[in-house]
Amino acid sequence: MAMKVFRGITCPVCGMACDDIEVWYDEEKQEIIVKNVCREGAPKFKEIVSPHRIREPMIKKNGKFVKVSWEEAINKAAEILANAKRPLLFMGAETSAEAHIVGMHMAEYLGGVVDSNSTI
Amino acid sequence: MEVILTPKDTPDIPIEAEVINPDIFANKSKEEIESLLVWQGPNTYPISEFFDVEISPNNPKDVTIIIEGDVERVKYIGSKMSSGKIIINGNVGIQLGSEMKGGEIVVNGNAKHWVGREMEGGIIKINGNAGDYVGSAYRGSWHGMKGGKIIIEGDAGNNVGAAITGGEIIIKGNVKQFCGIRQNGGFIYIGGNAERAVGVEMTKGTIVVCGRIRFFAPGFEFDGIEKDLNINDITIYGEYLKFIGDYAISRKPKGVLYALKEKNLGLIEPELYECYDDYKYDGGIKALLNTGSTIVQGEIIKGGEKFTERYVKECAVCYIHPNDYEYLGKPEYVNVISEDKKASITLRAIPDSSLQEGTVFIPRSIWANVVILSYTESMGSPLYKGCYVYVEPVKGKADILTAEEIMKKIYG
Repeated sequence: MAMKVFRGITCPVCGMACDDIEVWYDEEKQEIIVKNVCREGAPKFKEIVSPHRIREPMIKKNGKFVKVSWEEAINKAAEILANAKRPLLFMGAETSAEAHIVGMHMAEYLGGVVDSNSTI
Repeated sequence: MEVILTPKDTPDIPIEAEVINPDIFANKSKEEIESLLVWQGPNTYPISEFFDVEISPNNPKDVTIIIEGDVERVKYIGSKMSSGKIIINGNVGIQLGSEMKGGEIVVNGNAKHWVGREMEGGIIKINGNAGDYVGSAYRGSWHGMKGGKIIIEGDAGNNVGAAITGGEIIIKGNVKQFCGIRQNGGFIYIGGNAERAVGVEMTKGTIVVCGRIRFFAPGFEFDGIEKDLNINDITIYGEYLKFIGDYAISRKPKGVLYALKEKNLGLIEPELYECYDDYKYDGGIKALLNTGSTIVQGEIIKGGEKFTERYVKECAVCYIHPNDYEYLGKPEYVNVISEDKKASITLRAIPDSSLQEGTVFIPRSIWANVVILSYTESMGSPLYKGCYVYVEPVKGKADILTAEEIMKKIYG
């Protein structure tokens, strides 16, 4: 299968936000090639296919992580957040603006607190 | 009317109680006050959940609220109040009297951060110490305190009077960094020492420092000596060096900074300047720690390789100025100890002439995290740049812990 090419991708790593990145993705072989990206940005894109990345939702049952459906995992996460006394949504760094917007809507709905690495 | 609030248990999650305000308590019955709502997390509860409410038989002219006990986990007490009086016999939480317009608050204890933030009138008196941002502007605002008066009998923290445009702040003890930053009016009096960059970026207003100034901002010009100052009808005795600034921010600044002559001669006679306390001690140095990403470190962590030997080699290191490195006896390894001396970590020592003397650099990593304290100056992140550590040499060989070993050591 030929590689899919994604052009004009914005790098999520640092504040420079380079937006001319090319990502070549082979879904079958689980391979990624990146172009126009620096030494710090490249590994971030390659992490998408890295073997240590957790790709399925898991819930700890009887002290052990068990693979579950997305439906079950999302319900569980919603239950934890809805019952929290002080929900904190720590949105981290290297996250897209679109994901931040979703996080903020969730925090507003829950009456929670939003924070990220870049708070000043 | 006089209302006495006695705190019940210390709340586990801080409560937001802007309803503790004489304007709101006025003309209300005991039951009405008890049912006022305060926020805790996403929920509201009646005030009686956290306080016993009692209307005292005393009947002063102004509405007076007396809080008998520690309310360190209660925020926004007296926020936006315009009249009356609040007396707190204990320590108090953040945002005390923020945006206050009038009346009086007295604290017989310590206050946390943001005392009188952006206040416009009234008086706040703290008979203990205060935290950071006394009278200052809030995030995103250029305008701090506009009017009124804050008196702190003890010490205060960082950013006192940031961006104030009016009013008066009297700190009888010491202040930490950036006191009066971006000041554009008003008056700040410091009875003790000012740690770093006092008055930096000020364009108007007055600051008087009666103790020693360390790390003076470079944009001030000496403008002669004045004796016995008279500011806002307060006479301050002694001989003062007068500075105008900050020329770094404005061509014609009108900010005036007075520094007591006998303690600050070094500001006009450089050879008398004592910039540092002696940071070297027998067996080590007390250094200013800066951390930061290195490119290689970024490549490793973003590629998810934190459990590799490469990560240890790149990040479990402490860069030291060659003179300090020599003072430590050119050790192969050093112990870096946190400022509170509760945590330490062993790192490989590397001399590096690109650093300033008295400072060390550790790549921002799990090894640096061990010795950085949780203090955040009300921000989302601890002081990854500019906290203090003790650096002491290790004799001979030492074991460097891996990222995994550190996690197991801390979390078991």
